[in-house]
Amino acid sequence: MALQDLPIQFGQISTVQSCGAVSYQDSILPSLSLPTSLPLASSQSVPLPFPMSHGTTTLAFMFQGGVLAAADTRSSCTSADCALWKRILARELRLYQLRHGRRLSTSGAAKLLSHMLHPFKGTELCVAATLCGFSGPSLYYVCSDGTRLQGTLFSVGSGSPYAYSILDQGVQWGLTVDEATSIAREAVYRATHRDAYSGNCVDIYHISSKGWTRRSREDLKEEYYREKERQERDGM
Amino acid sequence: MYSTIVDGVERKIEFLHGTTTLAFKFQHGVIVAVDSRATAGSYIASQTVKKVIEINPYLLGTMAGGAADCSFWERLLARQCRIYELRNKERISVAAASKLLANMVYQYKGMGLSMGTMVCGWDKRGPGLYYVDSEGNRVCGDLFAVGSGSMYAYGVMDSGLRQDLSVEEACELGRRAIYQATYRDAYSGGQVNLYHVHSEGWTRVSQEDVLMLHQQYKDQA
Repeated sequence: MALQDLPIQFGQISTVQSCGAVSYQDSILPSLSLPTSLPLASSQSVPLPFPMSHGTTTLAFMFQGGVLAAADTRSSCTSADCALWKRILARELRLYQLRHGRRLSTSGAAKLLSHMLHPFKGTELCVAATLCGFSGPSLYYVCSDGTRLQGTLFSVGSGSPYAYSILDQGVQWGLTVDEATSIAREAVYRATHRDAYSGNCVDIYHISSKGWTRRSREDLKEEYYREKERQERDGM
Repeated sequence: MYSTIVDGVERKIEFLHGTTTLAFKFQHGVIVAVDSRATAGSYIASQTVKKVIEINPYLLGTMAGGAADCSFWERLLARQCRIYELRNKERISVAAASKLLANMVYQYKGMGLSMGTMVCGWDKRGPGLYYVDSEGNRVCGDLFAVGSGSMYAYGVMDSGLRQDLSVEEACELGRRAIYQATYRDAYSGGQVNLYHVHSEGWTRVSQEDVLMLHQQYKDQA
């Protein structure tokens, strides 16, 4: 069962991306209340025949309308570890909620994930997660080397430099939801255009106090052809 | 280049591996934009390096990689281009100039040269842009970015580039692309040097400090 089927009245605020479609099929308990979302990229603990970097492009930024997250859907790493860490975190958040009667904040969830990853520091485990939440909009970047950073804009993955320059140009606090969506889409599109490890489609999620909404998945191939047509029209 | 021993490891001081240089063609010629930072490891050796070499009044070369290699070989190229002009009583084409450079460095392939340069000019066939490096690559193209900050520059250039840009817009695109690269890449910075190559030759458009640009873009937003 996919995350997006879970009813929003549970305060389900969650987005899942990176490492492709496989991560959607892993089920999170339906009664789970997840105030945070995690796009994850990770590698196996068995030595791989070739070096695996975070082959993807994910990004997230804060603005006046909440948090916007976007990612491509090409997966160059197996997502077994992604799914595993997602489930572990989701389970721990649910346990916290049951024990303490309130949801963990995004900062707390980030800290929890960071502490859970700590025993694996120095091993081949490689996880980089961007947690977006709305207990007050917040955005955290957690990485398996021990980094835990709060910020207003992050991009993770092999395609991230291409995305960063587009985001740095356009992201401001006062954007409308539509403007933010189009900047995120453009950033992922440019990254997939130049980075061999990113591609296929783009998923965009918007997190606000009312919960998360997901735009329909857009195939970037269409965008590429549209741009080619536009260039032909402009006499390129 | 000379070497020192730091932490028991021999380190060569190599400038310019960290850099961002870009060039693109558009309807009014070629825009060339570069940063001006030189680093040796994490030390910023200079913020005012000239990374564009003026080969002759209508040909430019950019520098990325080892500073000594780039400037030496491009000065040698300038000499060869002048000899060609004197012998053949006409200007050398961009394709021929880039081929001369590529052939010169190919003889030293594998011997440790480090050079990633773009040869930009205007000849009988219009605007010309070639990427030449010390591995032996020589590629013609409409758009190149070279250096550690190149990926950041590509994002901006790809989204803004159209063939029908005016000169002002194209200059601004080049400037913005270098600025965004210096914003994210630690090894790029200093000033943005901008050149425009057109049918009459090249013009030095501007030199702007990245910090000034930062203020300017912040105020615009």
